[in-house]
Amino acid sequence: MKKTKLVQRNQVLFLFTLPILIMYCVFFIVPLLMGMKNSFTDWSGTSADYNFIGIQNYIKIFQDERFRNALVFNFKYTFLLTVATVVISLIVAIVLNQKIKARGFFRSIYFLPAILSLVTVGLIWNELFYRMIPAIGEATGWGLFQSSWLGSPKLAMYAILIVNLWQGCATPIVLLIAGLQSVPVDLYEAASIDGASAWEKFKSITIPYLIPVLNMVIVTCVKGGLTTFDYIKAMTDGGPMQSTESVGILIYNHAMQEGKFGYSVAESMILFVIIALVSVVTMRMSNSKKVGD
Amino acid sequence: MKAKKVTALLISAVLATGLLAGCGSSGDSNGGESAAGNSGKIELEFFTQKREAADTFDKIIAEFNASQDEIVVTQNIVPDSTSVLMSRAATGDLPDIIQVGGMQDSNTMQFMKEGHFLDLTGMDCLNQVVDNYKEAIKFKGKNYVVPISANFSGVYYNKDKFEEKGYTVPKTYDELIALAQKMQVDGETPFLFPDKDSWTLVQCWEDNIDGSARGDRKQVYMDIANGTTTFQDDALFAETLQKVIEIRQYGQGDTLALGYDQAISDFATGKSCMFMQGIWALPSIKKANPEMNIGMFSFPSNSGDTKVSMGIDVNLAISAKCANADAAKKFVEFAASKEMVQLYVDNDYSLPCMKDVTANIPDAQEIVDLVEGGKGALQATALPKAVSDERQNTIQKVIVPEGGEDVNSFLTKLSEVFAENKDEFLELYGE
Amino acid sequence: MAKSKHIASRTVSYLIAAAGALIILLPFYVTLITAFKTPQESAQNFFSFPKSLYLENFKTVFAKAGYFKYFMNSVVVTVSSLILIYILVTMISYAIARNMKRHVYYKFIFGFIVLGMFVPFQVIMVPLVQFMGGLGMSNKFGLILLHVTYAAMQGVFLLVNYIQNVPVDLEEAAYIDGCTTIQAYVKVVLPLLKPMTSTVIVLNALWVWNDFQMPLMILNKLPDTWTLPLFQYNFKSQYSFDYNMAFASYLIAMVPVLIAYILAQKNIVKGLTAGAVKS
Repeated sequence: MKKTKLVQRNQVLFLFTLPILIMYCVFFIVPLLMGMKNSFTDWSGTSADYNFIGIQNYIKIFQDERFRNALVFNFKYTFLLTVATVVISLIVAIVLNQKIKARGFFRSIYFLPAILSLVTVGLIWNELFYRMIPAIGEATGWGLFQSSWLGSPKLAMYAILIVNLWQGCATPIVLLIAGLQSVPVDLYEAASIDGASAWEKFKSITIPYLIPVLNMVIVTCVKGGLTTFDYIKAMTDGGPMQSTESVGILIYNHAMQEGKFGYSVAESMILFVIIALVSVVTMRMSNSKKVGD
Repeated sequence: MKAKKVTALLISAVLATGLLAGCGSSGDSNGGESAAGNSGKIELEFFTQKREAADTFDKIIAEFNASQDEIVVTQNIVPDSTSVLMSRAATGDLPDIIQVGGMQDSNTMQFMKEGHFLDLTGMDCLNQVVDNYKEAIKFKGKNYVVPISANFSGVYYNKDKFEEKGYTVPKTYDELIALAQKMQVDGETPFLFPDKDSWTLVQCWEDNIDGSARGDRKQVYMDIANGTTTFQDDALFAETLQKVIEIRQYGQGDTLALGYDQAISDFATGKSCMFMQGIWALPSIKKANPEMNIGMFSFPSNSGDTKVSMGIDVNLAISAKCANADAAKKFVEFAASKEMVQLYVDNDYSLPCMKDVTANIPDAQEIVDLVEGGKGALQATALPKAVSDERQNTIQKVIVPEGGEDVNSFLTKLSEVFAENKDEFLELYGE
Repeated sequence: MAKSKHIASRTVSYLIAAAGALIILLPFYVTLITAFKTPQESAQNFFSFPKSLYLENFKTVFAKAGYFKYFMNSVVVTVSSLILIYILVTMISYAIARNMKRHVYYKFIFGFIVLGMFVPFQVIMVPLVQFMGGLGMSNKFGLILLHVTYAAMQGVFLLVNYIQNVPVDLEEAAYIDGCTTIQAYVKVVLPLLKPMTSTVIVLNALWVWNDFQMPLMILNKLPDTWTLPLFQYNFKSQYSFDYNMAFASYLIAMVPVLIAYILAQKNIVKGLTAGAVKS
C-alpha cells in the first residue's frame, strides 16, 4: 500500500516537471543549439548561404583588440557596480532601519526607480546629463561639470554607472532592510552588555545575518554588469570613441549592424563561459563566508 | 485514487490552456478586426525605416487603398528598424515592400548583393526616373529599387540671426571661417556639432565638406581599390578631414556631448547660428519650432566652385520572397507616380527622383538652384561594409584633442581595411 | 554626552536619507515639469516649474497613438505570464526540491535549467525569431510562453533553494490523513511557499511589464499587439527632437506602474523580501 502510493507520488512529481521542461527545451535549448551552430560559420546574418569555418571565429576573437577592450570594460564596470551597489545599499538600509521620522515615506521613495523600464531610465538621464551637468558647471565654475559626462571618453562609463546605481540599488535596499530586521534584537543587547563596540556588533552580528541577501545582491550585480546592454544602448551606444563598448553592445553591433552574425554568436558563447565561471566563483566565495548557518 | 489525480491534473492543464486560448484569441480578434473588413483582399506590409516620413507615407497609402479594392497596404514602422530588418532577413521573412536607403548605403547594398530584393527591371515607373540617376540606381545592370526622393547635405543657418547681425552667406571656405570668427566675437555660437552620434560626424566629413568640394566619389574609391592611391595619399581627403577638425573650434564646446536629437531642438530654439546636416533634418527642425526662419547653403569649397553632394534618400524595394509580387509592384508604381512623388517631396522637403516633379524647398532654395544648375553629384558608390564600419567606429578619435588619433594614421588605417576588402568592392563596381 | 552623540548620528541619518531621496526624485520631477512645458519654455530654463499647464504634448501623444490599446496589451501579457509562472514554475520547483537528493533526473534538470541564467540573450535572439516565426508564434501568445520560459530559470533557482528549507513534516501529515499528492501540494505546500512565490511574482512582474527586447523581436510585425515599452520607444524616436513631447510619453507610460505601486506598495515590498530573507 505504502509502496504504490510512493510510486504514484513519484509519477505526479515527474509530471510536474514536464510543462516547464518541455517549454525550456523548445524555446531555449533549440534556439541555443541553432545559435551555437552559427558560431562555426561565416554567416552574415542575412545571406542565404554560408560556409562552415570551424573554430576560426573563436581564434579571431582571441586576437581581436576590440573584443579585449570590451571585456576589460565589462570587468571594470562589473567590479565598480558590485562594490558601489553593496556599499550604497548597505548605508541606506542601515539609515532607513533606524527609528527616524518618515521612515516609511523614505522607503517607498527609494524603491521607486525599480518600477521603471531600463530604457525609459536611460532616456531620461540622457537628457538630464546633457541639460543638468552644464547648468551645475555654470553655477559653480567647476571644470568637471562643463559638459555632459556622456560625451567624455573618460567619464562616460561613470555616468552610465551612476544611472545604473540610481535604479539598481532600489531592490538591494529593500532586501537589506528586511535582512536587518531579521536580526534578533536580543543579540545586540547581549553584545552591548559584553561591551562590544558598534563596529564589532556590525561585523559579527549584522553581517552574518545579511550574508544570504548580500549573496543574492552580488550575484545579480555580477551578472548584470557582465551582460550590461540597455543603459548603454539608451545613453551612449558604446561611444564616445568606443569607450563604453561592452561585450553586449559589441555582440549586438556585430550581429545587427555589421553583418558578422556568426562571429557575434561566437563572442556571446565566450561571454557565456565567462559569466558562468565568474558566477560560480562569486557564489563559492560568498557561500564560504556564510557563518552561523 | 488514481482517477482523482488524473482529473486534478487535467483540470489544471485545462485551466492553463484555457487561459492561453483566452489571450491567444484576443490576439486573433485584434488581427481579425482589420481583416474582417477587407475579406478577400490581398494584404501587403510596407516597412518604413525613415520615421520622419511616416505621416507622408500614411497619406500615400490611404490614397492607394482608396484607389482600388483588391489590395490593402499597411505601414509598419518599428523602433530600432535596422535590427528588426536584419532579423527578419535572417528568418527569410522580409516585409513585402521595404523602404531602404540609397546605393551609397552599405546596408542596402548588402541586401541587394545577397538577393533579398525582387528584380524590378522593366517597371514603367523606372522610365520616369531623372536621366542622370538612371544608371546610378542599377545594380549589375539590373534594377532592384525604385528611387523616390534624393537628399543633400549643407549648412542650415538661422536667417533671423543673420539679418539681425548683418551676416552674409559665405562663398568660400575662408569666408566661412572669417564669418565664424566674427560670430564668436559677437558672443554667438557659430555651429552645433552633434558628434555624440558618430554617423553625423561621418556625414559632416564625407558629404558636407568632402562631397561639396569633390563631387562624385566613385573615381577615388576605384583608384583606392585598384591600388593607385590611398586615403592618406589622396590630396582632398586629408584636407577635408583637417577642415572637419578646424571648424570644431567654432562649435558649442565639448562636441562629443551633443546628440543629433538634442542638436535639432537646440538649433531650433536659437542656440547657434549654423548647423551642418542633411535636408532630412528640416521637417524635424520645423516641427520643433514652426516659426523659425531657416536658410541653407552648401559647405563652401576653397575656390568657391561648390558642388552639392546628394544621395538617394528613399528607395522602394520588394522582397524577393513576396507572395503577391504583382500587387506589390502595383503599389510601387502608384507610390512612384508623378502625383505621389510630388506629394512626397512637398511634405519631406527633398528632391524628386522622377521627371516632371518640382522640388519645393524654399528654405534651401540656394542649394536647389545649384542642383538645377548641374552642380549636384549623386553618390551611388558604397564603401565595403568593413571600411564604413571602421570609419564610423573610430572617427571620433580624430576630433578629440588628447588621447585621439591624427588624421594620417586614421586615414592609413582606413586604407588598410579597404585593401583587405577590395575584392568585395571590385566585384560590385569593377568592369 | 551620549545624548549629543545620539543627536549627531540622527542628524547624519536624516541628511543621508534626504539627500538620497532628492537624487531619486530629481528625474521624476524633471519628467513631470518637462511634459507640461513647450520647447521654448524648456530652452529658457530646464528646471523651472511650468508657467501654465500646457497640455498640447499630452493631446498629441493620445491623438497619435492608441495608448489604451498598448496598455491593455501590456496588461494581458503581464497577467497571463504571471499566472503561468505561478502555476508551472512552482510545480517543477517543488518536484525538483523534493526529489533532487533521491533521483539523478531531478538533479540533472535543476542544473540544466539554472544554467540558462548565464546565457546572454544575444546568443539565442536571432535563432529565436527564426524559430518562433516558423512555429507561427510571433504573437502575444508566443511572447507569453517566452516570458514564462525565461522566468523559469531564475524562478526555479530561487524556489528550489527555498523549498529545500521547508520541512516535509506537514506534507507527510497530510498524506497520512489520506491526501493525494496534488491535494497535499495545493492545500499544504503552496501556502507554505507563499513568501518565495510572491518574491518571484514581483520580480517577474517588473521584468515582464518593462521588457523591451523580446517584444520588439517577436511582435514587430503586429503593431496592434505592441506593449507599452514598444509604443514608448517608438514614440520617442519619432518625436525625439521634441523632448517635451517625449517626456510626456514617458510620463504617460509611467503612470500605470506608479498607481499600481502606490496601491500595492506594501505587498510589493513584502513580496519582494519575503523569500529573500530567512525569518
